[in-house]
Amino acid sequence: MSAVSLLESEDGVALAQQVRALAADWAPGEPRPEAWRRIGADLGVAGLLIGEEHGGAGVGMREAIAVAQALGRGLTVTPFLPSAIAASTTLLGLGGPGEPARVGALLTELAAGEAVACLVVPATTAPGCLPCLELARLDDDLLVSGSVAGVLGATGADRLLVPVRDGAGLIGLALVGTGPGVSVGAETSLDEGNPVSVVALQSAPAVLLARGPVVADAVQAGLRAATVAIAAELVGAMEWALEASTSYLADRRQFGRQLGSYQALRHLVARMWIDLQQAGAVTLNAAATLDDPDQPEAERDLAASLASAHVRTLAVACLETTLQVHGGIAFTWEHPLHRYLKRAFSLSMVHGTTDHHRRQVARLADLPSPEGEARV
Amino acid sequence: MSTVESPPDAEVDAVLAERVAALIAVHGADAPDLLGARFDAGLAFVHHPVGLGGLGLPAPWQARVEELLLAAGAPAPAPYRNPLGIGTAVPTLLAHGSSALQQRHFRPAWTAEEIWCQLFSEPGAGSDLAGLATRAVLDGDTWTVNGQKVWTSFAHVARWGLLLARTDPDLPKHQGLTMFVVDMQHPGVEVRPLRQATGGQEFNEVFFTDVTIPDAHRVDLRGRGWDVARTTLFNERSAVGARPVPREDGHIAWLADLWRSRPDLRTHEMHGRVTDAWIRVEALRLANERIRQLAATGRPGLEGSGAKVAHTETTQVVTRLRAELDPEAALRYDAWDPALAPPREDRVAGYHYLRSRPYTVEGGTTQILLSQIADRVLGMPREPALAKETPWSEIPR
Repeated sequence: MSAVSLLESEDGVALAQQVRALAADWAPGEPRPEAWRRIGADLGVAGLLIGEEHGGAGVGMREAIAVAQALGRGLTVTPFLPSAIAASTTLLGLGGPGEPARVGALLTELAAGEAVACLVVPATTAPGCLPCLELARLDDDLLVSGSVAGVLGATGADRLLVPVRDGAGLIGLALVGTGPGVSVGAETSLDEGNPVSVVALQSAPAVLLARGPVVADAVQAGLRAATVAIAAELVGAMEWALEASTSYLADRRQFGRQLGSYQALRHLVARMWIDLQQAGAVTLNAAATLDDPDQPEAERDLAASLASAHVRTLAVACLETTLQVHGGIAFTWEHPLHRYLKRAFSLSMVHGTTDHHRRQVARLADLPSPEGEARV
Repeated sequence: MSTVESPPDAEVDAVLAERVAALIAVHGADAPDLLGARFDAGLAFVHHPVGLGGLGLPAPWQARVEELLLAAGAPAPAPYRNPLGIGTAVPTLLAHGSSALQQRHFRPAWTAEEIWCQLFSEPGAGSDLAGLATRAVLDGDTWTVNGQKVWTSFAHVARWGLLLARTDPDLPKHQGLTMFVVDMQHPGVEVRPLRQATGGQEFNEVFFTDVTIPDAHRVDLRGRGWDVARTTLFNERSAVGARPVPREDGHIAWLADLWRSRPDLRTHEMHGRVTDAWIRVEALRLANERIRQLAATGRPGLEGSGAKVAHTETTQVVTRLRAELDPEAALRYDAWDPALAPPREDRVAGYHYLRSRPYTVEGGTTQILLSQIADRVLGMPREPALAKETPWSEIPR
């Protein structure tokens, strides 16, 4: 438990400022066709975690969370979370010495922002779980059939990473492109800006990227990194909420006074600020712990679940309070609050519920459940 | 230490190492006179000028001195013996006191030969400290003080007190205050212990009847008392220490140990509550560690008020939970007579439950701190208040 740096990465903050400047005039939560070309490719955000040998920046989660925070603050719609974090971290977990050529080529495409990838698992899949499509055999080239619902980031993705398993229980990761036998149908989602989809595969041609235990470890690392990026997005949403609330309280007058002169409301926003400080600190800790090669696996899991459990609770409450501070105006379709609230509430259930992460903290902190063992 | 830029790190480090080695060589690691010798060697407050316990170095070097001393086998300093002397009186006098006051008081405060107390709060001035009524009247070069203070820790053992008094009642309340160093052994000073709900006697009431103070014991100018008090209170609230706090420290460790050692107490509901408490405490520890790291880079933080709000409320949750988890024990108490009470770390859960209730009151109430955050951090519109220029004597009370 050596202390990690809880200060922001300066490079990350500089990049995040570029992201914010670029998207400053974009309406929160509105998809823009040029978003990923400009943020992912032009600013190099797509290849943030991918090594220089594949054309990426080769930096870590401390830089990634600065970008995630900027995207969360502006509610900027990009495939950053599913592609640049979850899928890229998974692929990096398959890399290293003896890296399959197809993995390297895919990372190069992703780093350039030329392709967008997505892990085809239900969005509720927690790190450590691995729902797979069942196949008879794991050949290098195969045809995949089956359907997965509730997938985040599949609309707009053209490289689908599908966990598969053969009859003997051997796990693999199949790469499916777009084309015949592949259909991605967006489901009507609570968060329209970031919808879940049904991915239906019917004898879709696929390449097996890897097989064996390495796949489960890589997917787990990908989902764990995603939970930390989610925490950072939520910190960004809290920043937006605090800014929106304080400026509204300064502008709006009732009973002849600025709303911000009423103590009940002043104290609500003061507590939002305190929560934001804590949310920022646990997220920085999680990112720095994932980046630090000297940290044991259990410590990484703990840092990620601590950030998830704490930030999700604080962020949803913060956005709910933002509605209360604004009154009815914030419940209208025109006001951006509902988009932030839907995003935060949805993300609070992605890759493990808040309660799941709480139980993980209990297990890793050696706080046994009444059965005498930690239940996962 | 890489954040300290000048003078060069290695050079300063060598100087400090040499001084620590010389200190230990002459006095030994555990000698009774070590504290005094540390002061004379400039290793008590490295950021102080030479001759006043320091070496004129940037404050972050103090942590390095502590490391070196610890490595040499010297015991960790014990500021708890004189927390208000070292923690608040010394920094206040450093910023605002005369050279004579600094020369006179720093060394015995550091060695805890002279204990200090802080005479600020009054029965009629708690959160509204600047409204206080204890009067100091100047005649020639002597002040005469009459009034009452309350919630004064260490008053019963203190040799000196930092006294905030009203010198000009017809000025607005913040402008009519002056700070003094008062001799607690003056016959007009009467200290009465204040018994608390825990049975303990940590605080006192202090009565001043015609207590005289030489004008040379005035701290800063007449009418500058509020600025001086702000320095004191700022130092009191910068409670975030110089070294990282380990995970599971204090109350949460006691709770977690109870949970681990008593499977018979475990229920699902309690499991959720214990886990939540653990998460809150760990998140708070990390938030404080971040403040500490920011401070070490010289970046000023306004986070102190927020840390106090979160820390006190979280501690209340933890102490209550620990008591509720073991109800058989929580129905009983150890000792209502403070003379018979065990040391703090051995006290029963019920004691810590009770003692943590006023955490959200003492040292700035949660409500005052939230208002400060709204004002100073978030720049919110001010609450309605009396005009700032209202003379103190015309404020209704």
